[in-house]
Amino acid sequence: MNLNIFKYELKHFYRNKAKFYSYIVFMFLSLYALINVYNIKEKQLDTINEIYNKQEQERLKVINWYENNQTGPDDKSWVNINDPFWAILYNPTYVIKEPSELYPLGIGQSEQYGFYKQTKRWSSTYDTDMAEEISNYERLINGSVDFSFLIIFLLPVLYIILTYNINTLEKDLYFHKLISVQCIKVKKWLISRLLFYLTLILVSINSLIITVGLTSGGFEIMGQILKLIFLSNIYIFSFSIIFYFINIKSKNSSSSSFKMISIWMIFCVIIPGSVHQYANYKYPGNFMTDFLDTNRKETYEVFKLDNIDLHNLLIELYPRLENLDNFKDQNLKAQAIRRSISAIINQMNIHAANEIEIQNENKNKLIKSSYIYNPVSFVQNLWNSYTETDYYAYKSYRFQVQKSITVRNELMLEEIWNSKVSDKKTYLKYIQTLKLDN
Amino acid sequence: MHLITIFVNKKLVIQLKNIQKKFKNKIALKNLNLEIKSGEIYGLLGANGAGKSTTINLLLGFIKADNGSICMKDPINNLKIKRDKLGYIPENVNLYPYLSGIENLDYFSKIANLHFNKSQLEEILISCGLQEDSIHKLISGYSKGMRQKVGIAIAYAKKAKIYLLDEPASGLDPYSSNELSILLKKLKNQGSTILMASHDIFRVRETCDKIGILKGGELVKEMYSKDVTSKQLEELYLDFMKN
Amino acid sequence: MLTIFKNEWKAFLRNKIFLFFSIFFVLLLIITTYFGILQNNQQIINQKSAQDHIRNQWDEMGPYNAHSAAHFGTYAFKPNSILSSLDEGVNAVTGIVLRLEGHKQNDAAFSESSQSLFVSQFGKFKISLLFQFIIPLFLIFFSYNIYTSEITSGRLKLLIVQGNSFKKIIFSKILTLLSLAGILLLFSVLFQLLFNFNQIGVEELLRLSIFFLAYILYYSIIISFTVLISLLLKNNTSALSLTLICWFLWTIFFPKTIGSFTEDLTPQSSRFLLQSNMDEDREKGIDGHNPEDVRIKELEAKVLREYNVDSLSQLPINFSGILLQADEDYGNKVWDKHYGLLYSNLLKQKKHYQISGLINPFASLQNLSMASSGTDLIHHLDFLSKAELYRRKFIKTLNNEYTYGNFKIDGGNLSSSDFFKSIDDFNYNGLSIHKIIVKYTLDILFLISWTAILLLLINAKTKKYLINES
Repeated sequence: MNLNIFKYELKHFYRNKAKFYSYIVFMFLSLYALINVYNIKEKQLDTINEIYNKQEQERLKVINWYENNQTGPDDKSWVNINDPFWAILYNPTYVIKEPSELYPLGIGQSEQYGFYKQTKRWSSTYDTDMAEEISNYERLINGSVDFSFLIIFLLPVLYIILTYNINTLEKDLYFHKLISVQCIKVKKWLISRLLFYLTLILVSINSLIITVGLTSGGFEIMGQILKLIFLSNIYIFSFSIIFYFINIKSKNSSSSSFKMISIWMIFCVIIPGSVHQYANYKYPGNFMTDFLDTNRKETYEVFKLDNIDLHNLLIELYPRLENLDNFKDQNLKAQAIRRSISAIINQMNIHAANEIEIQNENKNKLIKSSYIYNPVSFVQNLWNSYTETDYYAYKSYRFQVQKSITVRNELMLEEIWNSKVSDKKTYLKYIQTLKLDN
Repeated sequence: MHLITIFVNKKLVIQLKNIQKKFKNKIALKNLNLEIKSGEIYGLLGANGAGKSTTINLLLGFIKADNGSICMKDPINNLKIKRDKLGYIPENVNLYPYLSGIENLDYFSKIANLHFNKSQLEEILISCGLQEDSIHKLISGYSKGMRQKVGIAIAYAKKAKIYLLDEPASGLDPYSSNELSILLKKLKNQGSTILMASHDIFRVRETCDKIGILKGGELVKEMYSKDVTSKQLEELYLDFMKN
Repeated sequence: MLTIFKNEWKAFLRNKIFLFFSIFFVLLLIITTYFGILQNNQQIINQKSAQDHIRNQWDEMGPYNAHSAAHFGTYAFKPNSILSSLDEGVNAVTGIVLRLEGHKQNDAAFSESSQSLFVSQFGKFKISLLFQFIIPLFLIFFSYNIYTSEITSGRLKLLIVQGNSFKKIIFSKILTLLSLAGILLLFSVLFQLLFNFNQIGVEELLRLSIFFLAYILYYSIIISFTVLISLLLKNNTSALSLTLICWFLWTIFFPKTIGSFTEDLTPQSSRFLLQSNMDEDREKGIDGHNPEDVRIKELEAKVLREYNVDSLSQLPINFSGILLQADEDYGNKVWDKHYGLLYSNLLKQKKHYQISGLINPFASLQNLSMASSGTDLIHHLDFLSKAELYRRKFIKTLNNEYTYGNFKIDGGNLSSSDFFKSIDDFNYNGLSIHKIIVKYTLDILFLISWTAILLLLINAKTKKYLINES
């Protein structure tokens, strides 16, 4: 690299208005994207706070009932919070997917999923309230201007604008031979010039990533920040290598810009679009009839079972129940069996949801197998995984939801089959048990 | 300086021996033999496709000869002249339009690893005939003649031993063309060797010490300009073209 | 003009790069159309089989309690129209399954894009992707130098001396490029007709015509805009850079930013808040499952008065059914209030986005492309609204059966299997094209205005050139 050429490029850069302003616009856009997604994150956090407040209020209401010796709401006399069944029922739990520290750097697939869910005993991971937050669908298809979009899709375009006429402007104006006469190694001259833009771009985006990362997560997430930096730098560097050969080989700037835009189009639009189309042909949108069957038809069939069958089913699924108190008292046993149906349905839901996960995973396998020739999707998914906004981040969120439903049902089984009486102390204990981190 | 010029005057600086060059099926140069001595301005006349630009490109090292040898030697130390000591002025000196004359010179010097301060750069440009008030203006506002002066300044700044000019007078008005002649003679007097390819019989006769006529890739005639008048040169040239 | 037009075509056909790209595009078009239709038909089959599956379960239910049947409910599966293969629109991000049941309205869930890893930012490789992103870009590359190449080669003066006006020359070139784009468009429309021959009716033909018209207008804009920029800048490189920047702003940047802006302009509440507000309003109504509700007592008194009896047991009907329907009616009002606002906000956002066609013709194209393919927001909201209307009718039928049905006379509480079988399935018939045209007049007007203004500017510029510069 020739340091003089590198330094002089600054003059080339700011004298060329199209390049200079494109860079400035890009930087403004980056700031806009960061602020935009930061605001989305703040909005999500507000919603999460509202949820926690509501949860707290509902729990306080129940604690008040205990303290005032009330058994439940005034207009529902059948509710008795001294019965663990009702105590657990009146103990609301929400499973939240909090936005990660790096969320402002990549919104990923988060707009396709919900990030909070109230888990009840009948809930499942594919309930309709797991749908995405309210958004305009037409806006969703266009996507948001987020930082990862800017880096993965727009930065190569900025790089094209900055470099397409390096070594080709000279050819357009017929003084490329003069460059060769002046400069012993044209490749060195070209690399020095290109390196200026690469450095400019990398320094700019790395500073943004570091600033945002450290502001929202501090040094604790330095590892994640470095991963993002490494990924974005390798990505842009790969494009710059392809573009370097275009710069060398092209006969004029129109030809180089055409080739560069075509490369961008092929990697960012055509290949991902084709893989998407093929994946959907191979695995069309799932209407989830198996899950619907479990959720509805099979559930209703379970309801139709008599107590003996239900009892057998419960013992099969939860063998330890046989030793618990309520099995000795036939009257209580009938009620407990009916109250335990949700635990049976939960097991069925787990099975049905796993089937969906398997089907989705098959589609994911196909997508992953395309990474070798579809690097942009790979980079985007890796980026999304770093910002915890990819399919798998939401899959693990679904597992959290499922865990919460299961914990609730199992707690209920444990308590109602042990014929326990609940009071304020046990209610507080339930709160702790239903918390997932315990 | 003058003594050195006299001392090295007889030494060969450019020597092309039996050069052959083919492009696909077309012969561009056929046994070209050309010798240019130190401090000489050599004018290469010829029609379009005669091989003038091919000769210059060969000397610049942009193309390789199929046969024959090329030798460019420094008359003082007898060492080979490499590309870093060659000055090249194309037909159209289109430099970076968004840089000024002085910035272009600075840039092209820097890429040749030469460093000048501002006053040195100004001096070079002025000595190459550029008006002082134009030096800091953007090249996009320059006339062709002014751009050519910057082109020559670029070669001059790197103390080129040999100047290779491809159709330098084409498109220039008579005044600018005359200024170019004066500038080239000044360079010659400082010891530079100049090869100039052109169609312009009158300008070649006025500027050059020696003239060669190229036809079909062969040097068909060589003469000293002091031996012919412009009129005679024109007749001679037309005769060769007809036959 | 015709001579120049013919000559331009001759030049194109003898240009190897052009031929290469033409063949490339036609092949791409065939593959895209074929796979698009295949995938779309697959989705239609899957939707139908899911619908049949659910229907069979309904039919096999046997004698059943009508209210339990309302809880059992049914599902509406969002259908794909045959033209969805042209432009997928919002279909990838909207839920495709809607549970229809008593007491509550659900949201459409299980959007396709939530079912896998991220694949593409710009959607599947459908006809719309090819026509919206790729072809305009190549049209820019074919048209940015049609003026300057004539100048530098000196042909322009020669053509003018031969008796052609500058204007004619430029317009012939524009027309040549437009005819090229038109042929590709026509190809895709013909493929649609060919592959879906049996299913194409007048409605589909009209939709295809709007699709064709929208794209041809957009291409006129792209070509005219590029030519105008090159006429103004007279420099290949700058013209190309500027046009590419504009293409990028129109196609990628504005849709995202203006989309976000329209959401900021008409903000929507979070799903949580919406649900909380709905729950709060719902609390104020009758709770069909709460016998202690005071509002129930009022309704009870009213019904007893109506039937002129003293107690519920004397009623010839099932009071629970009345109660459940009253609960349902109240729920519907709450839903209308909250979802009515939600939908009207979505439509407001859409309207604002449509206005962006003033600065971004791509927005108008996108709107018309989705609308003609039946995959825009309006079609989706229509699907949701019609599904909700069906749900109301469906639940009312079940509640009526529960209230007035024969089972009471039979002494049981089960309705006959025939009754359940007699209930029709939800059958979604999309919006008619006439309704669509009204909603998209603005977009059509914008595209026409953009084309007209650009052509007028080129007209003015080509006149001026002759006087000042030729």
